[in-house]
Amino acid sequence: MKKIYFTCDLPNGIHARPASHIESKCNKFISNINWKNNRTGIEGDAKSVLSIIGTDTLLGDQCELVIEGQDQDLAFEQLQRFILSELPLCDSPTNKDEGPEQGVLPRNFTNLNPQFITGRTASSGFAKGKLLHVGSINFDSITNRPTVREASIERKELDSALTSLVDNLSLQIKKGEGVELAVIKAHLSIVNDKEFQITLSEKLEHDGSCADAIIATAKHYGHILQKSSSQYLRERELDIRDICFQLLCLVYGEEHFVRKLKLNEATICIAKDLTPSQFLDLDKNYLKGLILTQAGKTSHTVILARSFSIPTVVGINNDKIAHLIDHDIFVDSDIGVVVTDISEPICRYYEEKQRVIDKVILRQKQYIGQKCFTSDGTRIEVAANIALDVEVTPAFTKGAEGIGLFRTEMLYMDRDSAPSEEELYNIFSRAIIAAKNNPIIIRTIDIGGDKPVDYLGIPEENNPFLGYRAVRIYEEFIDLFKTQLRSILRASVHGAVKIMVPMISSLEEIIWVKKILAEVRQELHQEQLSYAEEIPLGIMVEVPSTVFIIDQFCKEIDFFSIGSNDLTQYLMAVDRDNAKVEKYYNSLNPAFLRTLKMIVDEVHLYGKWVGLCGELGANTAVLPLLVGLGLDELSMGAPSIPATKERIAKLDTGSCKQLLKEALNCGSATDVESLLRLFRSQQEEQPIITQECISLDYDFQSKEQVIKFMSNNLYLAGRCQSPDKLADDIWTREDVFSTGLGFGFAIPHTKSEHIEQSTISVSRLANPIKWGEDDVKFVIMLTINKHSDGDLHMKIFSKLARKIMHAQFRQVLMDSSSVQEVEATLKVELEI
Amino acid sequence: MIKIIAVTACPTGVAHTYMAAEAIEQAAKVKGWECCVETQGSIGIENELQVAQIEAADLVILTKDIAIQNEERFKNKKILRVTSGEAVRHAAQIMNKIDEHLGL
Repeated sequence: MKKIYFTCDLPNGIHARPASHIESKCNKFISNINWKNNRTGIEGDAKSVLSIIGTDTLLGDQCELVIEGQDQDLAFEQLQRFILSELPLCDSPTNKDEGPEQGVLPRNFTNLNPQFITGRTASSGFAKGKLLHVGSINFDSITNRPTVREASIERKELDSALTSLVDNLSLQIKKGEGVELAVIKAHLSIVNDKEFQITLSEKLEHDGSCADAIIATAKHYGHILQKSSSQYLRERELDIRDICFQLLCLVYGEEHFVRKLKLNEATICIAKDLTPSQFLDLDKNYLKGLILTQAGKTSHTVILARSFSIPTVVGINNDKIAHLIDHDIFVDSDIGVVVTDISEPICRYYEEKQRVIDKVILRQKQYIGQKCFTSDGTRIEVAANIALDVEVTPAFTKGAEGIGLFRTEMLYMDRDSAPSEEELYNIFSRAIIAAKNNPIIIRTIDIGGDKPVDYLGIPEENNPFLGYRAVRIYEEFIDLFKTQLRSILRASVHGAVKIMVPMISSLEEIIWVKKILAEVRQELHQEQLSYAEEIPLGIMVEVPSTVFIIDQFCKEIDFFSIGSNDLTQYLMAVDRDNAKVEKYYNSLNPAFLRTLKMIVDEVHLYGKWVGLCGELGANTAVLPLLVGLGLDELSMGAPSIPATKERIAKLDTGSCKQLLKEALNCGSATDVESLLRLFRSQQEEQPIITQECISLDYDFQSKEQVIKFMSNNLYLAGRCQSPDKLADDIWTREDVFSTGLGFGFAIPHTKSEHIEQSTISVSRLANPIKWGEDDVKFVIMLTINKHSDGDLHMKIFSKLARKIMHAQFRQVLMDSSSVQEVEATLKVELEI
Repeated sequence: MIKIIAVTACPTGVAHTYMAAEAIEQAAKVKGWECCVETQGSIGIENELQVAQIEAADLVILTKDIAIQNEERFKNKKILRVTSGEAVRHAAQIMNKIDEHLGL
């Protein structure tokens, strides 16, 4: 017998994912392997996911693995290594997209003195709906338990239900996408778990009917998981309940157990715990928002809500809100609150928010169907980064002109074995067909020591980023590589596919790849399987060495795509996940910018194509530099595409090139940032007065409404990025003393960093409102850019301030019959 | 001829500085007085009062929302302090008060 003593290092404890790694590792050995948690005293079979989870092992727990059997020495050695170096890396990092930071509530909101309950944002957005309680699957409430039938019948029913469930889930996996897929896979792994099935059988023998056995099993595991001190593990209990419920329905039919909730109007659902299946069942046309009183950020349901863009708030106590069931409420998960009074000011507030969003969507809509060009007609392709074939169509509806990067790693992860050629062929074909002859670049797998793909058995490494991964492993795993190539080639008949190879660092690697490609073509030819004649081949530019031999690469390949994330890390020698050095990870570093310039210039010198597929492309502030570089394509997450296309359409290549030149000569990233800020505010020399910011005779009811409306208009006019923050600055000035002037005028103003183009906004109100002590009917809002050099705008403002003191001037404004007239008056009087 | 000088400065230096200046100038004009106003706003100091002007002035109006720069210049003068808000709204009344005070 051999023992391994260790401490659990995983922040979330041993939950499903690490447990499944442990289980698959242990299942390679004949010996019995027992996992014992010395804190809880619970032992479990290390070859069963559920057993391991059942030990409730959390961060810091002292544990031991007891190995006994024929191959115990080998097992000991390998498991020792696994626990020391691989296990700590098994937990996937918490979702980056955890929703907006909980910050100070905007003044426009708090000034309304609304009744609200604070929770935590789980999925951003806002919505109004009728509050409806969705009950959890409560097995105790199932009173009409079916009668017990003959033992063999019950056994047969259970087995058949299990098989059906496995089939159903497997089928869903084929169709599933993104997060839904991960949830279904997790369910499947539980159903297939040995321990789960053993428990079911035991309960069946003991209790008699399938219903009793299934419910008893659900309770058994529910009990274990619910006791856990880890919120993450408690949440997994929902998954067990969900599966058991599905089993019950398979055995007895759904009608037997009332479950489906039919929504027929705009609804905000509140639930203590909603299973993923329940969520998926709810009609998304009517499900406007979600309040999960107990779910945490890692709950599968929350993750699904984000996928479906359902505003979701968590962490709200049920009793605080129970009295509002059947009443209309607002969920505002942008700021993490549930608004419980539906007074008119609140409704107007959210109508205004909706107005802004609708306008932005409408405004960006025109760019969606168009090819992307700069204002002076330079073409830049804007494409999408994806990881699953089902993402293709949505990407194109967001305006993608192609798929600039199809990462294939996901197809290999979270499985027991590599996908077959057929499976890959189907996936790629679907993706290529969905792309409808638009280009789609498939990147061959980039996995290695850092991405857990156990069945490859790649040994753990000290430094996976500099290690054995991507193209470097292809030779050892030649079958895997060839299978992927075969599937891509075969799928190529359906459209315009290109192949890209990651992590290339020297010429001989790509020459080798080309050799393999030729072999694969030959094989397919002999098997009489067709493939497209011309399939462009390219490489990721991420390893800095490639930058210096682009000329050599140009003789062998057709295109390049810059992986800006990794290129920055390798170039600056920084691990962006290391908090101590993350400040060095800055793609605006002039050294990095010069590197980009070298790449683009050299590639173009040889007449080839170069795109960029890192996160940098989605950063609209940096776009002018990327346009100045002359990149042929930018590829990014689909949600960023509309804003990017819109921004590029407003940029002029000449000024971007000039900006780049200056940036390349900056001494630091900070200087580049200042340069970009200046560029943004100067770029179009926008007039200080614009009709977009003049509004006449709107029916505002309050000072809050006016300020919010005028700030939002500045945002819609592209002069301000954060209207709520700008409004807060306006309010800060109001707090000093009111800007009401008497004579029915008010002149709110601020010098703020949140307004990029200094502007004079005007609003004449249909009816006077209370502005502090005064009645105000005419508002002139002055917003000046804090960083603007030169006094030009301030001089105009001061002139305006003086003019306002004259009754005649005020009267002319007050009597204006149109927006154009207001604009003209101001321009004349202020001499602009 | 009554000579009034003033210096205006407001918290943000964007609006009230200039509105107060304008209001004071206009109200003084109505009274038929000579008036010069120095503004200390975002643009910086404009219409800076000269030594001769200060010497000749009968009264100085200073806004009191924020500190006035170079206030030592007025140390021997009659000073009336008002908020920029008051200057904007009630410039005429302020002039009347000055009228009374100077015993005219």
